[in-house]
Amino acid sequence: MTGKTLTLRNDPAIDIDASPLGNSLVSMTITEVNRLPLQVIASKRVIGLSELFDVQPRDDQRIVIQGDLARFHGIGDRWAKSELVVEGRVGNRFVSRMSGGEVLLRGDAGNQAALQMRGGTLKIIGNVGDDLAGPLDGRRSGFSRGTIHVVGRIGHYAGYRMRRGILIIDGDCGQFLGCDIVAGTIITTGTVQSGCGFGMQRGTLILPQSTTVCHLRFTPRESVRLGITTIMANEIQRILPAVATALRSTIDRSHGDVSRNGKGEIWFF
Amino acid sequence: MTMKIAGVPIEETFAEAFDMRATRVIITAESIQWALDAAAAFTGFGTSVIACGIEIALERILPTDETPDGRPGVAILAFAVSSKELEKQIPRRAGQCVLTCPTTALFAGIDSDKPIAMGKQLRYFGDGYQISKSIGNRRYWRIPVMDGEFLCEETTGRVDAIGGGNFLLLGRTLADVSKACRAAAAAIAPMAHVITPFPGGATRSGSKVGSKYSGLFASTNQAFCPTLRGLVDQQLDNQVKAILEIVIDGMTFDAIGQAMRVGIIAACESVGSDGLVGVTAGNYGGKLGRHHFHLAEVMR
Repeated sequence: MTGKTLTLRNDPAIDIDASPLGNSLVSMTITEVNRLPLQVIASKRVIGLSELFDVQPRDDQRIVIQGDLARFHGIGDRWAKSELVVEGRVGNRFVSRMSGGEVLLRGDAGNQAALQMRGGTLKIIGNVGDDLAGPLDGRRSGFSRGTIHVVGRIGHYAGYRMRRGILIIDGDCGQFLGCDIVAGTIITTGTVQSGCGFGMQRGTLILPQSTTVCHLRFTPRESVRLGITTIMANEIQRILPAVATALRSTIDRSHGDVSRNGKGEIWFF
Repeated sequence: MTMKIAGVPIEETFAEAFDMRATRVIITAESIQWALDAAAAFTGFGTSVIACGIEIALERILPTDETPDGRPGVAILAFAVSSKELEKQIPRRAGQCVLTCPTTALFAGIDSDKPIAMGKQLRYFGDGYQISKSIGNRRYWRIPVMDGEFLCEETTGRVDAIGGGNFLLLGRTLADVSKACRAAAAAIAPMAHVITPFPGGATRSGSKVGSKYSGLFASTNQAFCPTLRGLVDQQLDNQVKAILEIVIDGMTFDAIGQAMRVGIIAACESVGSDGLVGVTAGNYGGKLGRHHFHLAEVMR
């Protein structure tokens, strides 16, 4: 079992279901990887992986995928162990159902990244589309364990129905951030559009002071000093030192969503 | 040849210690005084498993960079014969002695896959207003109270440990042995991973197993009671007028051995042979406890 580097040779100009480029890559031989069939979306056509990618072995255990992969959807599906590095844009449903290991994406991701994630560490250095860390179609809860760190902008409905874990966005967020979250923590350093925390039951949103929240859904801000904020500061010290420093002193806090008797909180730093 | 420290002979015998179960917790507060107040209550009535069920004491005062929330704090070690007893005592003491103390928070002081409930039980005091928060792989409970929130980690860890390391200071006068005892306890106090659970770190009521009275499983050890000289079988030197015992519980064999060494040296150097006739240790012939601290090896 060795690492592999998959380098995209040709832009397929068609949308491809890349879910076979998931955790099974780790245990496959180079020959098996080259034979992997890739389904063209909304078509019965199947393309052999070797037609699109050049596959080379690596000295380490990492799986590295390179190229403009914006037409490849589902990369990193069910990622469970080992390390995945993707260099370039990816399509929708990146690392959906991830349950462990480490994934680094250097490039933009489409919609529905990290759907139903339940473990591991995901870092994206780039912008992300809508529905980051949401539930799979029809599921009651979404992101349920692990860490997601985005350095870039994200779209709407990030963290929808999140249940556990920590979602860090070092950038701006779209509408309905943390909507209907059951628990967990979402931190953002940038601007947040309307609708954040709507329907939240429990969990914590950690947002900049400038963020506007709906006064019908959240209690007025109150200055508090809490022990738990210091514990959180210790956790994020390495990733967001400025936010960590702010959390070590007095912060403003709101409770909500009161319209659904929620016990969630927003901490403003 | 008998070893001597500052002219005080160290008897060639051993201390006999026992397997125990232990845990460690950290109490923090806005000021060290509140933390110490909570610790004093939390560790109360915890000198001996014989009647208290648990041996518990302050391990040491922690610098703020060693506490989870960066506030002043203390570490406490607790030892019991059974896991069940620890699981009963810790949440009960936490609820009555730490939850009640202004500004305090309570954290696990040791990691283990064998948990002892803290916030897991105390959360119900929140009457539905409590909030849990998972950060990293730890879970905390936040219970609303009148000064803000009581922050309490869900569980602390339980580990195997050793209780009953000891040494006895044989004094020429009560004043001398008392001074030596204080010096020993003070030298051991800053050490990590050990506690001396008796008042001031010392006990005068060294015990033997059993009694002439049915129902008592420990009673005074007449062989070390100077006032019974001539009445019972004793091997005490005639110059010995008072004896005090330092009992040490620790997380490891080495930690106890090191504490015994530091304590004995401090005691001997504090009063010398003018104050101490000798240093010995308590054992039951090696039949009850599997951990034997031979003084000659400990002092080497």
